[in-house]
Amino acid sequence: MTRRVLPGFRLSTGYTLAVLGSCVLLPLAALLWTACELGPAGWWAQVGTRRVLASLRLSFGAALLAATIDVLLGLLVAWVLVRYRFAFRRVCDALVDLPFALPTAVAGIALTALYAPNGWIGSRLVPWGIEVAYSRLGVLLAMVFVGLPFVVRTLQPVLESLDGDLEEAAYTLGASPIQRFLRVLLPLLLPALLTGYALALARAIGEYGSVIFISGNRLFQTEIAPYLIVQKIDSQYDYRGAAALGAVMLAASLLLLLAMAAVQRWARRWAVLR
Amino acid sequence: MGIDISRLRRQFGSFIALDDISLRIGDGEFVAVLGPSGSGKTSLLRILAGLDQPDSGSVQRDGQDLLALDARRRGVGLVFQHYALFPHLTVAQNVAFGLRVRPWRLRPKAAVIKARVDELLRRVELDQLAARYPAQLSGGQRQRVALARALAIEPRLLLLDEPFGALDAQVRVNLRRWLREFHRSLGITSLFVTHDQDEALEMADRVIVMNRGCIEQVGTPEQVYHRPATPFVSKFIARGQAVPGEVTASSLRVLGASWRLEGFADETWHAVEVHVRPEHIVSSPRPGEGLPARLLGVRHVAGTTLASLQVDGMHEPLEAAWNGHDGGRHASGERVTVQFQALTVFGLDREGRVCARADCHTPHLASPVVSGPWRRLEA
Amino acid sequence: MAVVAATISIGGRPTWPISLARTVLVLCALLVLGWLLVLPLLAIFAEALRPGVAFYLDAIRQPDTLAAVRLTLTVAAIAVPLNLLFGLAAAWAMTHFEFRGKALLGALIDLPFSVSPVVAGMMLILVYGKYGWLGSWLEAHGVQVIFALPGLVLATVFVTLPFVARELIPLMQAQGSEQEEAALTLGANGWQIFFRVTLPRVRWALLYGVLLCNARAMGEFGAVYVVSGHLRGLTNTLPLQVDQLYEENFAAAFAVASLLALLTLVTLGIKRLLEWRHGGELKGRH
Repeated sequence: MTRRVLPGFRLSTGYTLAVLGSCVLLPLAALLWTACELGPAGWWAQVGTRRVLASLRLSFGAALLAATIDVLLGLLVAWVLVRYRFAFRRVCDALVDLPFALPTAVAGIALTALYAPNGWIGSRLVPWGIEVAYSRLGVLLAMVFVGLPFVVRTLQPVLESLDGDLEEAAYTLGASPIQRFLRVLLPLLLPALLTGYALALARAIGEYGSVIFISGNRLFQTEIAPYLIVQKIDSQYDYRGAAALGAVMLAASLLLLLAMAAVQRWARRWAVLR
Repeated sequence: MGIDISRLRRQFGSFIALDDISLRIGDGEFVAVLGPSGSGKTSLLRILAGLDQPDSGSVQRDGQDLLALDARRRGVGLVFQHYALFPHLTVAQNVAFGLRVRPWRLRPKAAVIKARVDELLRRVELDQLAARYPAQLSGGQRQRVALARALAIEPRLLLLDEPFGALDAQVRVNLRRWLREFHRSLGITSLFVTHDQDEALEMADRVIVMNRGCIEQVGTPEQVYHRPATPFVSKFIARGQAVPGEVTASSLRVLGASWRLEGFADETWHAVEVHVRPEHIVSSPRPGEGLPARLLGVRHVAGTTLASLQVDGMHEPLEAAWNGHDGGRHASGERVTVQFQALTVFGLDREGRVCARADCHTPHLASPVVSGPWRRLEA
Repeated sequence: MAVVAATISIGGRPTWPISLARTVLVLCALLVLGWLLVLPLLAIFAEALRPGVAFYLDAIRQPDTLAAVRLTLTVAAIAVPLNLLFGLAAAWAMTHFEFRGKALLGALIDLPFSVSPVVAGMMLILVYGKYGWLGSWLEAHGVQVIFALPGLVLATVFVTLPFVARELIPLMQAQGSEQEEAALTLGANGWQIFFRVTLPRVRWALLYGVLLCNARAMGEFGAVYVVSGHLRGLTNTLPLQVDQLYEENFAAAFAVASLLALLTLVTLGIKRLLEWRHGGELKGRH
């Protein structure tokens, strides 16, 4: 006896699973299988080389830092967009999605052109001895660029839902503006901030197109992990090495997904973050 | 003829929504299913509409197995609590929906559909608003559109889920009367679900009181109100309040007063529960005769005085309803003497089920005497 | 400063230290957005037009570039409808039924957002590549997936998988199943319920999801890069063409990139318009 009253259960789940299976599940299984086949020793032989470790350090280190910067900048931008009315606010709001919608390769060459030693900004930084393009700073910049919309778009609806009432309540209770922000708003924004942080982090770790142009891909210096994966596949046909490294990246993605799920569950007690 | 519901069970995880429900609804009857939220009344409605399937049990209409028919072929009109009007369709299109989605061979001609829709909208007094969208209507108008939409498919059973739940108090009272008349003119077998006692008692031919997945009582509004079968019905419908009482060989003792109660002392019951209704707690005309109590608070509501009383010797305060003239003299904090005019006694077996009940009336306030009538219920 | 302060006005009457703080905050935000977002955008068009309009037009009329445009449109024309159907099917399943593994299904739908596109491409090679799980079977049947159109489509579907579903699921969850049930009791069949009741109520959210899905499909680089083999004129999509030109002909690369940037701007414009005109019907977004 079926409990499913509305029609279309088989059709909808069937198609969903067919697409998920061929595009996500099967490839996922293949990656895990290949990585498991290597065994711990074989895996370490692939991942434990100086070049790979350097790339992982850079990918994760820069991504962590970039996501942190995104949270600070994103909080500022979201706050200003939600709370204040000023000229070009709507344009600014629309622009926030740019890194999300702009093809990453296009963003990559644009950033490189700007920060190259002969670029608009790069040329002005040369006298100061600051090198952005073809350095780790460039990697960081590209990651900040791609992660920003995630933080802003996660914070915006939460900030909008916190109408003035809470702050006015705190105000009537005698809280100063800084106290109102730190003691009332920030705790309520925390789940959204964490979610935005995790989203920006996931994107930054996996980012390829925006980063590889500005990074210059210098051995041991500015090679990111996705770049190495491409190198292994493209020029060395080393699928096992690529899979070993890919497994590390995938594990990081899954961990972040779990962390986000935990944050969402935790935040539900306030029901501020959907 | 009519609908036969037999031994219906529905469980969600460990929550039992319907616990072995059996019921008969006669042709053309207007039945209210009354109960607090979580009592299973909406589950019953959804199963009848075909939107849910029971774990076991059967539903038959004139000998035909209703559960074997899926919702779209069942010919049951359902008016949703929040109406579920299609927001992108006009009033007329909403009403016509059920006719337009019929299989091609059974679909009436456009002109026939239009005539039917016009007729229905005239009957629900909305013919002026046919071209409006649901968002442009008031709550009461939306409800009537939902009703017309459900009636368009000429259902043999009409179900209404909390038909007045989403309306303002004023609109509600007017619509009740209208719907009652409307049902009379249609004569279609109808069942509506509500948690509002007044609504159920005022409108229905018969009331089914539900609690925790079980039917507590089925009866006319009169029966349910005046002769509640269980403590739950007494509390829920007549605002019965428990008072401490004990039954001995031939009497009921409540707070020192003795009431005659013959034939009740029996081995069938394990415990008794004694209820008094607010309107049966009267202030004693001669001070000193009756139960001493302190007035905790007095509220005047529409000609009635609601008094909260702390009767000496009781933990819980009691609520009394006096007519305005009577209650007007009292103020909070004052000491008063009250008497119980009538009591209902329930005998409960070891599982807490009612196995005996009796109504005690005292015509003479000065000397409480108990007269029957009482009756035993089958356990 | 005074000009900006004058343009900032919100409800009440800010006292001067607060209005100063507002002005400073707004200026900082404008600075961040200008520096981080506007400058790169300007740089693309500036670099593209630097050698002159004639060169620009010439660059985007190269046969290889036109082939890349055609391929990009083809890939999007296959991947976007696939994802549209996927989004509808997944949302219908997730919002109208209870079944085991539903939470897992929801997590899987979101997964492609957090997996690196490069890893996605690599996984596809492990399955569909010459030495992959299905490689020999596919070869025996004369089907080439990797380094060909099917691979590009698969990679694109992977990275854009959540877009439509993520717009629809929260919306349909918020709307509940009541209207579908109402239609059912009125005698409508499955397709009638879908086309007459569900679809009209989610059409703008659907369009919104398709729009974002399309932008990503046409602009995807990492995943496509891995599976395409970048054969010029054959398996180069526009972003891959940008990459190859960048090594050889800087200005031409920017000319092609400016096409993609224009697509982005148009997408963002339509997105804004949708949010502005149909904001209420998109509720449940993000």
